Amino acid sequence: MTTPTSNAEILLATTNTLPGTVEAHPEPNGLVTIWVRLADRSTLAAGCRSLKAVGARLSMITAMPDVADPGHFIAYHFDVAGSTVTLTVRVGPGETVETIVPIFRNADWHEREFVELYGIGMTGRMSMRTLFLDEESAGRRRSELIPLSRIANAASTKDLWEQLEAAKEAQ
Amino acid sequence: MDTFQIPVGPLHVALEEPMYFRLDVDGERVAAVEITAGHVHRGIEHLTERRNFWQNIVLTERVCSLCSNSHPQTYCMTVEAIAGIEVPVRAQYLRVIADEVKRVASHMFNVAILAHIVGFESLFMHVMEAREIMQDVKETIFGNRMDIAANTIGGVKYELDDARVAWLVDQLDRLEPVIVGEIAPLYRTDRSILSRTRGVGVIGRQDCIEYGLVGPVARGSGLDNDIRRLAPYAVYADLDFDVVTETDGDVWSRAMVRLGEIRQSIGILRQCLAKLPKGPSSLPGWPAIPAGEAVAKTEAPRGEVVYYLKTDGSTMPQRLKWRVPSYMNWDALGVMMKDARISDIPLIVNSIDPCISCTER
Repeated sequence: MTTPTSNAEILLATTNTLPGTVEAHPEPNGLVTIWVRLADRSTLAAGCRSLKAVGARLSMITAMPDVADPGHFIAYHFDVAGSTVTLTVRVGPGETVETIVPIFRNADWHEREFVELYGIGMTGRMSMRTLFLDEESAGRRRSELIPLSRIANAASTKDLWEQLEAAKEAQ
Repeated sequence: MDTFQIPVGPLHVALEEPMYFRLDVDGERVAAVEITAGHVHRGIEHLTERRNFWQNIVLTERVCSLCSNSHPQTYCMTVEAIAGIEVPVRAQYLRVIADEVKRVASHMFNVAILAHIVGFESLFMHVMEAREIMQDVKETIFGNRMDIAANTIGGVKYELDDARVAWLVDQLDRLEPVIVGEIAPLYRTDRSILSRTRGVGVIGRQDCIEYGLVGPVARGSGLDNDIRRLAPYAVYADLDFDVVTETDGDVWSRAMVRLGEIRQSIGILRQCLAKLPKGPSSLPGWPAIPAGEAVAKTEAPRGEVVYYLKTDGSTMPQRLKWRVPSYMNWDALGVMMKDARISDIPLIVNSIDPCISCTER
């Protein structure tokens, strides 16, 4: 076995040790894009530490619904000297994911945003203060709010009043 | 000494976008900062999942005006990656030209506002007047002064003939001596500027790494992370330019990085105009976008913009997510404002070149 020398080789060697499936795509500019699907969300912190050890910067976190089954995927995107690594975990209904703020300080805003938009449960955070949305909508999922598209299309008036009337009747 | 809480914002903190700061102050000095965002959260990411891939080019351009070119360009790059589209070389040069024209105009706006906050109104007017050269360039070449609609999936939507190339070079010849000979030296040496910006709003290199900072804010603290050099896209790998850095991490350093980058951008524009190859500027037709996922990143005027796209084979994104440089820069204001004078807050806020429309989407 040869010792990895380039940044891309070091990164590949690191991600290949992570528990899950790894797909690597060399880029024309000599960099590499790596997709890692972690088999178990409990290994997320260890995966993040491994990447930090090779100089990773957290670029972004994307949460999205799992369209096949109830639950969500969370994709953690990292930049490592220009190469891109994405660690993806699945969070089922009622399950939680551990914060990575102790490893990457800038995860704070990302985590607050996906919690308020998708209602994904988290552990290990000091504060769950909302980021963009009003506290009253904290923990609600994005699908529960009235989409801006309907408002922009002037299609919300009836829906909005119907929801308000229904809420009044429920009281 | 008495301790107070001061609300700042959400309106009119050195810019015309809303952000709310609650400051704990010890006399004249800021002890702690709490930021409350969300005043212009519009749910644009959700909207993109209700628009087709081509409609989203228009939509992403409207996330923000100053970096309006970076959004559709990076978005198009994710679509092209998933569909395996090779963008023609001429289109890649034209993308760089659009990118750098926007960067010059954006940076000039920011350093002009710095002069305005300092109270150096004649300098503010001088920079804004010089900036009009680039605004005119946008209006003439693209037909609009802010949203230039340059990008499409597989290329660009504008062309440059020989006459326009020559005219653009003339505009660069008008602008460059003003930047190099008049504006940059003033920011480097004028006592009014230096006394208000040196040692103000300091953030160190290590804090920049901790907060994941990018762009001129990070480079003002010596963190060299320009995506055009780190992960070259379009034809940046074939162009000669320096990544501008400063080391002091203060308001002044960030302004000097931007002024240095304006000069570099002019150099990049000259190279692109000289090397612009013949050939198509876009691909014909509307290709089908298969199921897949991709991440793309570019260097917007404020730093790295990242887009993630997941598709399912339909005509609309299954998930489109992006993160702009201001996202982390806002959070780091807590470091920059610590122990700052209250009167310096507008300068510090402006020094991150904040974009709230981008941040909140």
